[in-house]
Amino acid sequence: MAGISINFKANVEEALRGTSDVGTNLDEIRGKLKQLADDSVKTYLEMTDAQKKAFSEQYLEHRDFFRASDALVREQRDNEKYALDELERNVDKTYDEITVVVDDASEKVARSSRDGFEETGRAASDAGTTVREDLVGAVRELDGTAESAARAAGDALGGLASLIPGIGGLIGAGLGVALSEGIDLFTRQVEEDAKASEDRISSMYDAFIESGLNYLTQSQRISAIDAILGDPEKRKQAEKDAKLLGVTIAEVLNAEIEAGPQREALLERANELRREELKLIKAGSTSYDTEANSERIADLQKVGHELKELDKEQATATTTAEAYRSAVDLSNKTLLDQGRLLDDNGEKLLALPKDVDVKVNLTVDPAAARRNIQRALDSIDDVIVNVVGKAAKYGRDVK
Amino acid sequence: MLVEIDSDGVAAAALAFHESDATVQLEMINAGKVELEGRWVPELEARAVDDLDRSVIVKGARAIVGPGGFVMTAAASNAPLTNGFVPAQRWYAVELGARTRRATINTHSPLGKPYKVTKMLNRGLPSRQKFGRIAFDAASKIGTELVGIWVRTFVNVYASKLGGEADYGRNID
Repeated sequence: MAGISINFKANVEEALRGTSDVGTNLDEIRGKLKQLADDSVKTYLEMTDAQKKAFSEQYLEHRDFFRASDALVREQRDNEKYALDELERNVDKTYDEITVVVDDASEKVARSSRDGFEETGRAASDAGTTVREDLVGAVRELDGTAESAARAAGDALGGLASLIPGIGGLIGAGLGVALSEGIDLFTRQVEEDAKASEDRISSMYDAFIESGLNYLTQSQRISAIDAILGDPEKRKQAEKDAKLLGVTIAEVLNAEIEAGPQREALLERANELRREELKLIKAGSTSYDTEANSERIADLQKVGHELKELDKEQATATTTAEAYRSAVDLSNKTLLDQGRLLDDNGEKLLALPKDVDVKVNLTVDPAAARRNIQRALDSIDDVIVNVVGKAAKYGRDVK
Repeated sequence: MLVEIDSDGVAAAALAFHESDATVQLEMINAGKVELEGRWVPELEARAVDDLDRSVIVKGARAIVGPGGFVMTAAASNAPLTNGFVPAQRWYAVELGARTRRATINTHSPLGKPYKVTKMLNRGLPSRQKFGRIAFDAASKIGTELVGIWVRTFVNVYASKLGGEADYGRNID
């Protein structure tokens, strides 16, 4: 621009620096500054030398204090900012990791749950089915009154006892014992009644022992049951047999026990003796002592009658369930540590685990037994009693 | 010419301007212009001796006010005088003066005949001075006062807007 230009320039930047945050009334600032100046002058003029010195020192101290506090504040802000940045970084990283972990875990949980449920379902269904079959079948076995069952068993056993003369005593005694035990099992009374029965039967056992007869004790029976149930393969075989034969596990077990090695040995022995006697009879030998045999048969029949009397005494059994329960308790005396008690409620039975003890009932088809007995009485020819394989004939429940 | 203001009032003026909105700032500027010109022009006129001074230096004198200072102008006219003298271009002749000198000038007659003539130049101009006669002299004399006027005007306008007293800077120097 032409002409005379005299530029009066002020450094307002420096003036504005630090004053941008001051948005107060200039009037107020002016007043404060004036007051400060007046006070400072006045104060300074009135101060003594010592006060002036102290004022300076205090000012210095305050100055240092504020400087230090400012430094601390700045440091704190820096630390906070750094911490916040660090936190942000970690949060992002952690979130990624957590997200991944959660995703994996959720998948795993879902997968395991799914598999677990499936497996559990399968196992439950299998167990339920098996248990149900066993238990329901067993319960059905005992359907009906204990009295009738005991009577039927007694009839059957009594009849069987007379099948085999000579050695028949052994088997008869065994069957007699089995009958007595069966009576106990079928009895629905409480422990003491069962114990009383046991006592009576024990006395009969003693009599049998004194008579030189052999028999299966309850412990032997339980051991036999345990041997079958405890062995998975045997158990499976028993179940398979039951399915094939269309009978219950209890029946198969019964047959198994009845046809245990001991039993088989006895039967074999009895068969041998009987064959010899038959040969002799056919050969016209007179060594056949029918009187002795008849006496033995009569003894055994007497035992059978006594057992029948015993049946009547214990025929006050009420419901099948309790009889079943006591039967199970007695049968599983040595297996009670497994803590399973059966309930007459079907649902509770179904809830039992797979490896529940299968009760054993000693049901014997009386019809089949009667047929055999009749046949035997009609003919004293080859009477071979082979309990093995008879399970197929025991297809009817004891009613 | 640049004059750096070193005054405590600068902060006040700058803050007042900075804290104001556009309307108030414009008002500050206008008020500053009026105040400054009201002090500047009379000072120039007081120093002007003759019509030449007034027509060259005082003519077009004004103030240009801003937030960071102000500019005092003089000899701003571009209209040539009757003898062809343009104040805005030849102001220094009047402000600073000139020495008269004899110079031989080659010229020609109306018929085209060249000839020489000796003249005394710069005879009508003020004598030569080292420092300015009018504008610069006035600026140096009242420069501080102008700064005070500038600060005062800004602050007073700002204070008047805030409702406070508008007499700040009375004793500023």
